[in-house]
Amino acid sequence: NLSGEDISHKRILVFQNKSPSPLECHQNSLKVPFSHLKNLPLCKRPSRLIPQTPDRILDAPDLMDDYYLNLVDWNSNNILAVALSEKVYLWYADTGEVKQLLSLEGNAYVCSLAWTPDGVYLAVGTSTTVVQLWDCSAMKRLRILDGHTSRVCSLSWNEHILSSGSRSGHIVHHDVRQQLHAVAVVQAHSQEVCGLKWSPDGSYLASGGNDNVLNIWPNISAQLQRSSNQPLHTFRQHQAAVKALAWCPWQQNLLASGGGTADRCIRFWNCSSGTCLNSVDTKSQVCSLLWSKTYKEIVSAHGYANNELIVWKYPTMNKVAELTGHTSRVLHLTMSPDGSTVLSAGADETLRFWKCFVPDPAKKKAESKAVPSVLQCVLR
Amino acid sequence: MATQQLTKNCISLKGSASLVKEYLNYGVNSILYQRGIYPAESFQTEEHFGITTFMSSNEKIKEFLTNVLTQIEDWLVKKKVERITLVINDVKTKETLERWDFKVQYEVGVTVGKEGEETGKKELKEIQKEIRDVLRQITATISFLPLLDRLCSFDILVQTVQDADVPQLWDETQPCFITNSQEVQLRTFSTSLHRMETFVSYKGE
Amino acid sequence: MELLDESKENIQPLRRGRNISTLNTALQAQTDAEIHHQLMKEREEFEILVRSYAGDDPLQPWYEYVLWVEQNFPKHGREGNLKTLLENCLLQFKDNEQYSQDVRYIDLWTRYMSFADDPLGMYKQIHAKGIGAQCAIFYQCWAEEFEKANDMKRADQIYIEGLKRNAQPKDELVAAHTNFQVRVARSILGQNPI
Repeated sequence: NLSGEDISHKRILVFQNKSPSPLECHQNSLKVPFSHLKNLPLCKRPSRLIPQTPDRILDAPDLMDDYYLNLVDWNSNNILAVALSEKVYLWYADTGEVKQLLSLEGNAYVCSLAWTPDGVYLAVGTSTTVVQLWDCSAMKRLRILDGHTSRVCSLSWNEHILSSGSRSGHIVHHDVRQQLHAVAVVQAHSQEVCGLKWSPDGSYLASGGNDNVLNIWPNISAQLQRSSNQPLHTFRQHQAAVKALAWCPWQQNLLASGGGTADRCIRFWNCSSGTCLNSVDTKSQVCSLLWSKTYKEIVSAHGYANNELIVWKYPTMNKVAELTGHTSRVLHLTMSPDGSTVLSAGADETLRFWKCFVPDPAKKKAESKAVPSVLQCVLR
Repeated sequence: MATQQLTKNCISLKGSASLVKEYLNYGVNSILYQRGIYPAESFQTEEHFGITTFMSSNEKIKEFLTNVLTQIEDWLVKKKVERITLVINDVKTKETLERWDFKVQYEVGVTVGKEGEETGKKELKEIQKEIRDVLRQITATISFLPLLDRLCSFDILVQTVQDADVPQLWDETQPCFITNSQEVQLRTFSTSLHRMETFVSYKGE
Repeated sequence: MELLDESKENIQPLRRGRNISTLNTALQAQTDAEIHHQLMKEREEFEILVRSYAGDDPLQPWYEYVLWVEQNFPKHGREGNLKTLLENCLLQFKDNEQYSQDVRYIDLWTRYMSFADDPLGMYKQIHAKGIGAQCAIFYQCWAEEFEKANDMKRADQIYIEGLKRNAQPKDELVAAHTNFQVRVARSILGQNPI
């Protein structure tokens, strides 16, 4: 065997008193990551009806089946960006039109997408280690931002600062208005940075890595002072990769994080005090998290072994809905600008639109009717 | 003064043996939790080496591990132990389903002070980081290890050098082999006095 | 184990575990075109074999093919296309008396349940066809599904049905049922699990 060496002439000793036996009826709880849980009862009295089937389903051929990437983003002008291997498409939700924004050459593929808050520019992280910056109204590439040594799988904007995370574990902060754009580099993690999110007010940057670590970094001016390269907080409670990160829109400094296969927990953090407020075992790999803007709820997307979305009431963490239909992992979530629709992107190469946060009917606006088949025709 | 500076932040042989004992304690508890040998509810989380680990709250398990690991620590100081093996057996058939081997190699430190005590060259912080990396890998083995879907028990075997005494309450035994096994080597860590290699072997199909 | 570490969230855990050298090759195939090509060639050989097999046990090449795909496509996504493969195999043999009590065939059904929207409904349907009616493993998996859904009454009924039908191996079914009853009793009493 690997450890070599004949042990037939060695002395092997063992303690006489044996370790206690588990109860005979003990059923290995580790079955959870190997089992698909179906037909589970929700909490008895859901607060409202949430449609159990998607509003629409779009094909997304060649959507990469890779936990560590971040391949969809929906901007404030109601344009959805989707990366399918080497290509990026824009889907205009108001008209149903689809445009191909770009196609990378060679064996390169897109690893991450992030819109600026005003929805005008799109940052595209690639496997070729650079980030491309695109003006999507002019359909024109504005800049190429280098600085990384491996693929760029996570991106997050803070005004004119674009923060990027890579497989090397580094975070590079780019000031896109400056010629020398790489204004700071941080060795943030010992493995791939798969989650990266600025808090809405720019006070904190949350980074999650394949090293199971969640770091909370200070605001950008503090980070630009090179002497301060330490996170404000380092959280190591997750037992698996931390990709899913989401800042609460209604409660300042509240961050939700999700752990991978060996962890399966959603944790909630007060990022000013550095405390873990709550933890819930979802029983499945957590791939993505989104807070509702309309309700005190959070939605999680799951992979191994339950390919579903779950809507939770916060802070009780009672299940409000379980949304099934994806036949492979649900890798990414993004939300329409009006906050009513959650889009899930699955490894089954489908995009599903869930109207799970529709406001009260009295406040409901007229729905725009997109034509899904147009997207299907172009994407197929 | 040079001697004092040399020993600052560096680890003694006793200190290294104590660190290895801690690693084994956290590692064994992590394995028992991750592999589902005992119910998940019977574990609680504790922070060690800057990492959150699952530790059994069962008094009998704690007592068992304390007894075994204290003896192992003593053997580590005396350089008598070569390998520590956690075996996981089917309760019903007694078949060994999984083995976790912790192989010990002794490295030469520097001799300092009047008593000639051996001292390592590595800083504690670096050692802790290496231990953290191995513990994280133990957790990640879920991606390829089979489900242990039957009732399992565990034991700890210690391979010593030939001239080691057999202490009271210890017996000699036979090695446990797994037929048709797969083997994976995890990361190695070193205190610069004890170098620990970790392997997991499991039944293949 | 570096490649394993780097890809750990893209490896679906399997009840029967993964062959470590196969897993390493499969992970390399994701970036190495030559290795990927070799994998595709191997897959094509399986495709030919299941179509052209002329022996007296046509289930066996399908079974080997399914096991091979599980091991060689660790993401368990579209690339491996395991769901379609299982569907094709299960449909082909569903009216074949030769296999209705075959442990391999039942095993394939239990693997397929992870893809089914309503596994409980599906177990009921195939049981009505007599598939697995003599197999202890069928009732154990079905009851386990009810237990996961917290329907202990129905889970108990499934075990009893299996025992009534004298499903084999009987001692395994008896042991599973006994352990189930103890678990239920303990959860009712709220006893400390250890």
